[in-house]
Amino acid sequence: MSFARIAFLAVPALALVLAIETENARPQNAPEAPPSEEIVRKVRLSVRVEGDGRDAYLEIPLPVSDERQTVLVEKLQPRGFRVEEVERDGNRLAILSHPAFEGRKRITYEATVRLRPARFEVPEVPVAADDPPREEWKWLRPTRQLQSASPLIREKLIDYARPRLAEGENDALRICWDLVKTGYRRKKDGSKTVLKATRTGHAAPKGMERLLATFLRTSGVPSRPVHGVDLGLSRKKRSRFWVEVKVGDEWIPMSVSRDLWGELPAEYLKLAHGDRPLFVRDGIASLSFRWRVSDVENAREVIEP
Amino acid sequence: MRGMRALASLLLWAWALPALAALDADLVLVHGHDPARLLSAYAAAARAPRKGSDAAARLPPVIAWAEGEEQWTQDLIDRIAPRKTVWIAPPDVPADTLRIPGRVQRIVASDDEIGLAIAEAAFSPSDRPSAVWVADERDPASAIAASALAAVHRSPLLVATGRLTEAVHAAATLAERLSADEVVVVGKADQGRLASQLGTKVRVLTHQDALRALRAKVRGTRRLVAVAPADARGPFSPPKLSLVAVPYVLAKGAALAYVGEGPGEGKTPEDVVHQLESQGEGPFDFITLIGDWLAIPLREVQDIDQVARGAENPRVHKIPPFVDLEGAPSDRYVGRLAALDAFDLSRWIARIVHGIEAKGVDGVLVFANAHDKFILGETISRTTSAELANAGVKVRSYYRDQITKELIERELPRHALVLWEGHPTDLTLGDDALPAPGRPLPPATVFLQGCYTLDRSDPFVLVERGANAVLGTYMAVYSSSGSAFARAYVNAQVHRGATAGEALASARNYLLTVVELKKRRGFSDWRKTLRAALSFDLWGDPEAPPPVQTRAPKKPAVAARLRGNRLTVTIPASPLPLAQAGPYEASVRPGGALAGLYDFVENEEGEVVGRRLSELFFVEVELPESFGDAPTISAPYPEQTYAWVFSPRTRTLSLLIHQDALPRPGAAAALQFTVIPTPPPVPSDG
Repeated sequence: MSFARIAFLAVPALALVLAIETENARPQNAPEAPPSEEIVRKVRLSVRVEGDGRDAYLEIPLPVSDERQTVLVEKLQPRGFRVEEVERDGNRLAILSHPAFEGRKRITYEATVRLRPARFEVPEVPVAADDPPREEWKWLRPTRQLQSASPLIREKLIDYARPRLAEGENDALRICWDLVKTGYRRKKDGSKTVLKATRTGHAAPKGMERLLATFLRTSGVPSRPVHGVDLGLSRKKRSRFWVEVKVGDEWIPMSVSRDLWGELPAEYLKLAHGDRPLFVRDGIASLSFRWRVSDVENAREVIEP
Repeated sequence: MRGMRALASLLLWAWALPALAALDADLVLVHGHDPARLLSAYAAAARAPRKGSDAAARLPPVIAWAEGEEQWTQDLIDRIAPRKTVWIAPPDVPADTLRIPGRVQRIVASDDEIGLAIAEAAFSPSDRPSAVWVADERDPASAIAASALAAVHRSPLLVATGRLTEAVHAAATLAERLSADEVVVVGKADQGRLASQLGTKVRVLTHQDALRALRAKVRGTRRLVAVAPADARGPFSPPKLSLVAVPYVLAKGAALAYVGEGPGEGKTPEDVVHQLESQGEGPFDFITLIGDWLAIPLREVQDIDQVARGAENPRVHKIPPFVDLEGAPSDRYVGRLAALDAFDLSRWIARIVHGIEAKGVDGVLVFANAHDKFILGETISRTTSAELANAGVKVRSYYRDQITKELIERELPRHALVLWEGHPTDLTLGDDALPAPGRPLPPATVFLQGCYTLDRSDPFVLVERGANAVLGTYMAVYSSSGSAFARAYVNAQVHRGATAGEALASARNYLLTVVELKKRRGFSDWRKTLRAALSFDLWGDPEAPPPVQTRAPKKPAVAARLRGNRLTVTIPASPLPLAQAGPYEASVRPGGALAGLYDFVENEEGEVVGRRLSELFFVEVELPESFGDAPTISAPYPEQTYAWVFSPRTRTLSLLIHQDALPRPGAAAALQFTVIPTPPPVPSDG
């Protein structure tokens, strides 16, 4: 077992409580941040599920310890669901299943996490002139929400990029960033889908992040959306969505809707990356979840549909 | 001894046969779209065409796929149910990614070795291919032409991934081993230098030479395929659709030409057709464009109606190729194959070429006026449903709030023709869309009758999921014109068995006759109808047969017959069931037509209580050459009751008749028209 991970073991139906304390060794290439900027928070995720008799399947993303965030302690209470932890595409997932699930249950996940802000020097990344290497395909290919191959997307990007390329500029990151910033009007109720946003010109923050990831993929730059939570928020919505861009061997965070160019605040806890819903579910009639975050006392609770 | 002699002569005969070799498969799966794998696979999979076939070569379905395409690829594999599959992939592709029934032959090699590996698997010395072909992957225009030519000659193709000379050396060795006569390089190379280096016969063709040679093989064909090799390389993820065009070109026995930037020399499809026809090739009736609108651009024009009304900033619309802004009749049958990527297109072409069907799919699904805004269009749409039912087609029709996400998900995968009429709702996106199911669709025709329906993601997603044809628009259309167009399209297929391209041309010409009729009747809004006539396009094979089978109509349809110069249009007595929606109603005879023309219905007190659509009759007849290129029509009916357009190229006269030409509304009749030949030119005085 890695020191960097606290893992769950598969257990049958009975409630599972697993708690392991550990701490990461600080990696050498960690983004620099003074210890004073570190924060330690206790987070609690409650997922309410309702079944209608079908076999239930639920994936809950769990935070992964890395250079910026460390999971110190964690505990999952699956309330009768069978649970298995898997690693998939760099995500850590708790896979919960329950045969013929009926009624309501509340699954809870608690963790104590230490977080630091991240700041990266963002180098220039040229627009790919031709096919990228196959090993990068996973983070370059079009997906359901990142329709990077669509002519609607390509047309928008080519029209915007051509004059800049003609002037000798070739930084794909900057071109894509500027296109989303200037080519779309940020609108709270704008579209979250890239094609509709491109047609209407209005994009919700989530839509803007998807647009950035999509345009980057079209330009041959590996990128992926990230699901996370903002632990510093006292507002109703804690969910956060940003983008990671692969430069060399490093994934650099960016958020075009929040103007975060190669940086991430300490309060952002990453849960999962890739074009996937936060919770993947099947055979579950309804699902709602809430986050509770506490540093010392004053636990704040919010409900999200 | 006699037996030995017979065996020897049999062997000698077999030796003398032209190359018969090919990959022994009824499905070829190629990972990725690298030219070295894909284009070599086409050449290696080709067999001689069947007797009587127009094809230039016969290939099994060759499907390109990659990670992310598994669901759609698997669905197609399941439908094909192959017994022998050839799997071509680099070494690091997991062999169990797809479930393949039957025997699987795996050709696994890196890009720089795959061409030879494919050739070794497909050819042996006894095949005696005439040549070994070579092209460079950095020159897609040459590589595509070389692949098609190699397939026609049933010879191997090596596509250089590194230095071209190395591939030519490998080809020379292969040619020697296979007893091939020569090495043919398509692209830029020094023939003399290569010949002296190799000591074997080497021929170098430019891609233009290769295209000419390919066209010579299919001389007399009336089919042209235009592709844009510029979409195979470059920044911003070009879709590489041109690379997967080869099986379509070969199956159709079509002439191949390049358009668009780069190797296309900036030519449009119209330029290419006119150029080739002026050189004695063709004439081309069926034209297929393979490429999206970035590779093969559409013309953009200002909105003709807004310009005429003096709008300050008229909208700019894309318009399909081979349509005339002045309203000249449509005289070519044109379709476009555009997809998100080469993988989607390779599956689409396999479905088209091999007629791969889905089980449990039948009949027509009509969704009309989902947003409850287009009552007039809905009224016409209801008559289209009735027309189909009269021809023995199973039809399920839903209107307004009957149309829900759940209904779409349930019904969309179960029908061979889907007619969506109304507001441009995305069928395929999230947000406020009515999304199509995420599972595979049957090879259906989906007619998206609404505004800007081809300017959205819908056609791409429908094709990705399995649709075989999508019809739609690049501009705003009024619901009456749009629904009238869809009805005319359906009529052309139901009553005349028109292919998709022919039905599109027929429906376009129908609206053009409506334009002429409106002019004769003094309506000033004819430009709106003209705009609708110009707006529809077909994404699909223009030669695709009707997607549903029809029977002889239960109630007879409107018909026309030409005898000498007498054209008789027979209007039957019995109409289809009355269609009603909101204040509108329509009673139309089978094969009849409608548009946005209507009368007010009054009650006994003279109050307007509704609107009755005017019944129209649209017929098409072929005129002999003796009528010249500008025949006219005369009839004993008021001039504003009929109008026509005539296409000199197809010799088709399209005639539209208003119900006012009948003795009384709803009456049966045999209407008589006289076709007057074009008057001879008046000799000039000097």
